[in-house]
Amino acid sequence: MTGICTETYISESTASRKSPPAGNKVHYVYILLKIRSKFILFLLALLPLLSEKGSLSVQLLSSLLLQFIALSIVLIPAVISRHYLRWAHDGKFITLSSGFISKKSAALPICNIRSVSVIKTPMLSLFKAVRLEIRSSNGRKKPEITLFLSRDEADTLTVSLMPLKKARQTLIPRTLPFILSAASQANFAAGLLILSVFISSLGITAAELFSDRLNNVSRTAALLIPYLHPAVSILSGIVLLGWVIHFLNICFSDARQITSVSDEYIIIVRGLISTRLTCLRRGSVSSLISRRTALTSLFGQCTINLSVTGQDRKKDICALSAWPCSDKANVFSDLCSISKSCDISVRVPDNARLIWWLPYGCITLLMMLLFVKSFISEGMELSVFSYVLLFFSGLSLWKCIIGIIGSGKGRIKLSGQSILISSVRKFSLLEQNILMGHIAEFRITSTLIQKHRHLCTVAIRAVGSNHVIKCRNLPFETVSNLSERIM
Amino acid sequence: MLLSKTTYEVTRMYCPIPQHCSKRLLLLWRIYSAAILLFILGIGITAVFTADIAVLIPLSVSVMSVFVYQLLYLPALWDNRTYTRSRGILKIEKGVIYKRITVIPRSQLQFISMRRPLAERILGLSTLVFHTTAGNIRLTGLEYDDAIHLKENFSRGFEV
Repeated sequence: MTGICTETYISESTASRKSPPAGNKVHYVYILLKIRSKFILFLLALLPLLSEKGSLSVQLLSSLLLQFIALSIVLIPAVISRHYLRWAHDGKFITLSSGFISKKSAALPICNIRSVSVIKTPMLSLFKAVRLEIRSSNGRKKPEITLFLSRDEADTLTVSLMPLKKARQTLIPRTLPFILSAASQANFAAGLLILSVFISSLGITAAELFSDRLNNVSRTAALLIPYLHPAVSILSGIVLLGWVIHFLNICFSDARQITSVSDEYIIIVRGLISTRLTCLRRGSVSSLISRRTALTSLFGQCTINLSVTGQDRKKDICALSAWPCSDKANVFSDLCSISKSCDISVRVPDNARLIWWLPYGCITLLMMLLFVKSFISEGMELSVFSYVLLFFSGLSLWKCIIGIIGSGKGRIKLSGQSILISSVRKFSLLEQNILMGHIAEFRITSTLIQKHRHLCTVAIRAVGSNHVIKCRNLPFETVSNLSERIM
Repeated sequence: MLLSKTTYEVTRMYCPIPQHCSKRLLLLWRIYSAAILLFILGIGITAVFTADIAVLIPLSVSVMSVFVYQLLYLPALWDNRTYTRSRGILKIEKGVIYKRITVIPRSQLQFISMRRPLAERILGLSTLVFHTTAGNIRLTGLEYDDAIHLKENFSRGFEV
């Protein structure tokens, strides 16, 4: 080993600096996709045709010249970019190098690959190509490596990156419940639309009835009433539009989602026109969250979201909308082998509910008293201070109601591999399963009132995530036992 | 310079002594600040010819501040920018007034990428970006060879 001197090493690195780009090129559809994003330039080149100056031949000639310039502006960088975008796979790393002026290179170890997605769009299918997205757990929104490859190349690479063995199809959604659930959400929009007419007519009637007694208030109401109906109509229109998009999304994407599970991987296929096959390493799944809103629970359904390490919280890698609640435990056990049995269960004691609603109840009462006092002293002409009081009393009343409803639902369950935390957030029941190996932080805090009542707040954070899952007012002694067992 | 490759690599990789970035990084910063200085001077001269002579006061103040920044702050900034390589971790220290120490354990590292913008390429420098589960950490102003070696040695821990 002593024979190899530093000079050899320097000459190696110098050689690599000057050598032409090594590795495989991406599919030529990459150039077309690059051009597509700058399509506006070609439209701008058509402008001479619209001008009235000069003859038609001159206009055509100038437009053609501009088209040529636009093409060269767009095409040359795209061709150069494709020439310098090279990828290589050596069994341990997948390497991507790019850039003509500013060079970039990344070597992603295969053991750190979290997921591989194969995306087929109509345009890519036309050229028999696919987009391959490779992600690691580094918490970025964009994939680390995006490649445009031919189908055969993509298949070979996917198999070499994630050697898929026999996978069994576990979660095939039933279309009818999906569509029913999507349709149920239309009730809200339709109800709001009907309510808009009702509210406005109620307002007009009230204004007519009390116009003599409440002079000032009715004057303000009379000013507002003409805007009430259009405002609520616009709002319900937006909700209706949102529902249509949601409905289409469910029918064409979620309802067609198929999830297969093998020993090491979870394979998710979704989409109708553009299909996306995501191959996810099972070890990277950090939590499974089931969400039951007031509306979906009417139909006995919930939404199940799958979170992985270092994932952007807003974008779920797998969302099973409108899944039957009765089947939830099976989904959890299928996806992450979460056992249905429970070792330890801690729930919020009944006496702890008082902490939730009592402070807010007191604040509401105080605010209301102050408001009544100012109402009596000021008469009908209310000051800004009174309106502020009214607003804050409403806010604390809302918090109080949420506290009364939500406090009873909080609980922590510990099974063999995961911790299940149930909590209520804005009238939705959340059940969050965090896998043991993915816990980065287990925090126990207690306020002065909680200390007095031997209670505490538990906060758990998963690895590579800023999102903290909290459960308030749990018995301190049981939680400390639980923490010893977990950590 | 007659070190064997193994000794060379070991001293490069497992050197617990803080190491400075390349001296050329200082030159790069000076080029950038000189560009800013030229920009200020350009604006100032245009203002003197088109507007009032009183413009010379803020102009001279800004020119002086850029000179002070060049002569005093930049060397201190470079001097306080070090990185330490030891087994399993990389420690990056930077900052003159506000010090910041970043420790990257190799176990938390996902992958390393290298960036070489034009200015850095001309000066033979490169930037390493360490992608961890918590986010990205940049180490700028490394010699190209140093960067390659650091990248290779740090990547050696990844096994399939």
